[in-house]
Amino acid sequence: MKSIELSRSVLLVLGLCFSLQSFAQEACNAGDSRQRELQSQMMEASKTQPSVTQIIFKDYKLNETEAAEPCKNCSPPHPVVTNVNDIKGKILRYPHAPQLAFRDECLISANKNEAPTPQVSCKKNSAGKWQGTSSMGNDMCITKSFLKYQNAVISSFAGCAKIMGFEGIDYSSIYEKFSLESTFRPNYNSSNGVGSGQLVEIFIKDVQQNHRGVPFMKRIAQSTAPECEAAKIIAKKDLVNSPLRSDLCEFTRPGEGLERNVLYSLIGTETVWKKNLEPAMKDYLRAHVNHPKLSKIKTYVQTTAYGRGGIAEAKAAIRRLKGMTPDQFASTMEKPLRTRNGGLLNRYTSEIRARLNEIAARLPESISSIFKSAGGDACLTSF
Amino acid sequence: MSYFILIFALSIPLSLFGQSGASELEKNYQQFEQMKEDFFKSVINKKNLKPKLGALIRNLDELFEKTKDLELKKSKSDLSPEANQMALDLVLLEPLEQLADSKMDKKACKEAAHLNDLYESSPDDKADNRTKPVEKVIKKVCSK
Repeated sequence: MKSIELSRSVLLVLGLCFSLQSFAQEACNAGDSRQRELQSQMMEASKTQPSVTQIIFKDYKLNETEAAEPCKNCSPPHPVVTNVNDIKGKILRYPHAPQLAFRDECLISANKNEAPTPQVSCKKNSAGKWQGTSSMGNDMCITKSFLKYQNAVISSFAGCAKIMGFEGIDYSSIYEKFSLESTFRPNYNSSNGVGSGQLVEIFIKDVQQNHRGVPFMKRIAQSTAPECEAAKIIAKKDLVNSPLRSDLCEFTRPGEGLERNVLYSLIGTETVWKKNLEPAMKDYLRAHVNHPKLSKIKTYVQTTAYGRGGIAEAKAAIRRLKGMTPDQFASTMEKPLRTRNGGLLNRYTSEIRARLNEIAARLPESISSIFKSAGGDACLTSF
Repeated sequence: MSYFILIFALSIPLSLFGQSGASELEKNYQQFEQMKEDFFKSVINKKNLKPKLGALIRNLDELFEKTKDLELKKSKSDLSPEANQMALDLVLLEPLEQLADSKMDKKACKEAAHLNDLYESSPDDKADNRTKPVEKVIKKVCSK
């Protein structure tokens, strides 16, 4: 009996020690364990008042580490989704904090993919301004708690966007795009784009145009909804002074860069949806409003538009396929749509499918079996 | 023996249609390209942009529809690269349509140029120069 008591005490002490050291010593899911800049900037921002990161830490209870408490109920934190149709019916809903949008395993698995891409390191200069240097040597450590923070940022901002009536927000598409674009490494920077959403210059400009993204940015900045408390800090700032693509830290640094990247990705997606894609398929959406494949079609079209050359290709694909039934539309989008000049109208969706197959191979069996057919939908928590 | 002859006899018109269908697709595509090229080579200004572009789009749309019909005859499920390219090329003309339908003032010019830039959003695509012809027309129309 005494030995049981003793081992319990030892376990408690070990648990406490682990919780105290968890953020500082946490193992990397990806990257170099000596390069902990992202983790430390996130922790620093979480202590700054008032800040985007602090609000998100509080809303999503990110200071409360799971390691602090012994495991009482070892089932997964979110219910495992077993029926794809269940998820489809819930696509218009959003998870309320502290519930996260994506299953941890999906981010952990996606983050294991590596690409030889320069990464941005941000340091404060003598004037106190963040300055970024982009180099192949900056292979930053990404911990599981940092992935959870990114999950919380997306959950928070996408929830705000949903409340503000953004109709183009599709959680499955967000997961798939970020998995392909950056594998949730927020400081990737190349000619293909910057940060988690790999934003290209024209995409950033699009968000900042009065006739395009600004009305959506304003909606967030003027919101009184508690769900928008964090997002509106960035939206308000950017309505006064918009950063440029070349201001690397403004789109990568945990604190306000990584977060801006997510916000711009959402606003840009909504802009393209409302201004370009939805008008091109309004009649189709109306005619098939209750069809179960409609949300899949929306995901395909949105992800295509997000990719390189995207919007024109997505619109061309709509032009080609809107005469088809939703089942045919969705299945045709899964095949290569070749053009006479050697391109593909749906190149981006093909790239995403290839990436999802790599991710599926690393996922636990309980998710991967659904993931193979449902893609990003299988990564959504039940909400 | 007669069975093989029958199959052979049946396969000739089918394969011939396949070939003529394919060449017809190619012919339509070449005609489509030629119409576009002629338009971009012509003198375009603020005054004639709307009627000229309107006529071009009508003709291109007609060819696109014809090509889709041919495509259906050739195969019920396969979409031809020619018609896919035509669909994309028609979308790439949209910034000009937007401009033609506007007051063609400074604001409209800026917005048309922005849409054209959006249609070429990746550095990888810039090698295609696919938005260059439209960019030139916007500059020409908007500079006067």
